[in-house]
Amino acid sequence: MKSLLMRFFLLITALLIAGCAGMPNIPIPSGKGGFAGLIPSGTGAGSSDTLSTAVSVFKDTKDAFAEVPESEEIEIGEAMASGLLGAAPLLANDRIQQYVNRVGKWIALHSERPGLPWSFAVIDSPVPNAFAAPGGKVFITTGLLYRLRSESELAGALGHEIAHVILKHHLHAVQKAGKAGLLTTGLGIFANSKIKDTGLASQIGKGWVKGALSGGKELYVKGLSPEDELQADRVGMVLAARAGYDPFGLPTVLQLLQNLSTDQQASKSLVYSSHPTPSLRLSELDKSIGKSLDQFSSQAVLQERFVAAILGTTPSDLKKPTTTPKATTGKSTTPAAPKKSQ
Amino acid sequence: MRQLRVLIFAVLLLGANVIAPALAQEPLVTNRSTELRSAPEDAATIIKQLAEKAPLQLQERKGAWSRVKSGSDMGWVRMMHLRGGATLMTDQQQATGGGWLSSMNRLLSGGGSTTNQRAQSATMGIRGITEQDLRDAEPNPAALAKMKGYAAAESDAMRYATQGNLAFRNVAYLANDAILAAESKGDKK
Repeated sequence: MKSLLMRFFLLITALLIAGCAGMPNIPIPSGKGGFAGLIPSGTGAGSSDTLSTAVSVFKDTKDAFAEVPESEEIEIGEAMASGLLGAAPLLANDRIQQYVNRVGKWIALHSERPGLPWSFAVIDSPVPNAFAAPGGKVFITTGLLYRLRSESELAGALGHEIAHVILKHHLHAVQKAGKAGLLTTGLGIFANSKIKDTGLASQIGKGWVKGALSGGKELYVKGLSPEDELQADRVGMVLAARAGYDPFGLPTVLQLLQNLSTDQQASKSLVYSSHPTPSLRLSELDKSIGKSLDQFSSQAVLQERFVAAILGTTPSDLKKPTTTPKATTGKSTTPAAPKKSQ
Repeated sequence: MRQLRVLIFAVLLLGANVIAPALAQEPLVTNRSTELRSAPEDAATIIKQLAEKAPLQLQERKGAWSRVKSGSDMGWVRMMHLRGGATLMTDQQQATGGGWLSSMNRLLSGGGSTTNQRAQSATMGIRGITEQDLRDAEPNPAALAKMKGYAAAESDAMRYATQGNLAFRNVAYLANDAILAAESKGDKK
């Protein structure tokens, strides 16, 4: 039982780090062996790209497992979050953390699961990425946050992650893995609540996970299925629109990520694995949305508020434009010298 | 330290349009033959027809439309007809700092502006979360507790949204996503 729990923790941690992110996803040859070899190829709906297939897989999954109660979904997510936070620190900036939490919570309030204990964290890592864990935990790296240019782009990125949470994509991925025989017993333990009283967190505190993590197994696994990612894109756009934002923040981020994928530093991101490329995601989004979201084009972008929140200034402190874009285009590769504000 | 960060970002804000300069240098490319229009709407005058893979520079974003520069022409293109264009840039272009990313790299690495500094920033060993990090990671319940402490109260989130003139809009899910969302919600019972 102990080893099953260890393996369960390793798997959920691995699933988490595989990310999903609204991130650049450049396919690379997936490693054989390790956990990767234990996960069914495609981890889900396989190569089929029809939504009806996705639905039937969803239902199969539901049939195969007792639903994990929400309380345990939250507990599992917190264990995953704790593991991630063991690998990368929180950004030590309360203002920025508060800002992202306000924006994220507002969006989540317009989802089907507004009552989850939504909590957002900016983690201090230069590689662009974002993560979600079951039960309402969402992460964004400084490497992504600092490259965004408006609150509507942030809303798009968070909307994508919130979609993963409300649709239980990570939870179901774990269940699907269990269906393949790896974790059935482990999940059964959860479902039977045999460890519920002690709680996973305290299990972790006892140090057995430490031993498991130091075991040196490859944690590299495939991320969520392409269908899950594409669905999170669609749902993320709608959630941002519901929250009053220009829904095209998310595809704007995808275009940005496509450009970032050529950057040496950014391309080190772990999430460059089995996810659809930003280009494919944009094409699939385009097919799905058509012109149906055009009507929300003039919703809020909140560029100034975003910049002010990141910088810790008030919008009125910001300099007004002094030159037109036309005047600077193509030649301003050197930023103006920083002017001390005092 | 905080001052340094403020200073770094102040560079971003200086000169023009806060973020527009960054956008202005982002390379894009059309993924199909499409129209460059005089305004962000389908009914606007066509300035010219763009071929597939036409290189463009992003100037401004507005909902479903992006204002781009195409050679000497400026106009609007449906944003979903655009893809990131950095992969199509030549090595020479990238080395000399095309794209707003290079500007950000300079800024994040301390405000330098030369090609050498940019190259340095790309190889100075900053890294993200790696497999090794995760393998070595121990759960961090203290950080988790701090993260949970950052959670915004519903009333706080709503007040902040109101400050930004954000208001709820009734927007339907696309395709069959609504069915899945409803099923997930139903799991709570």
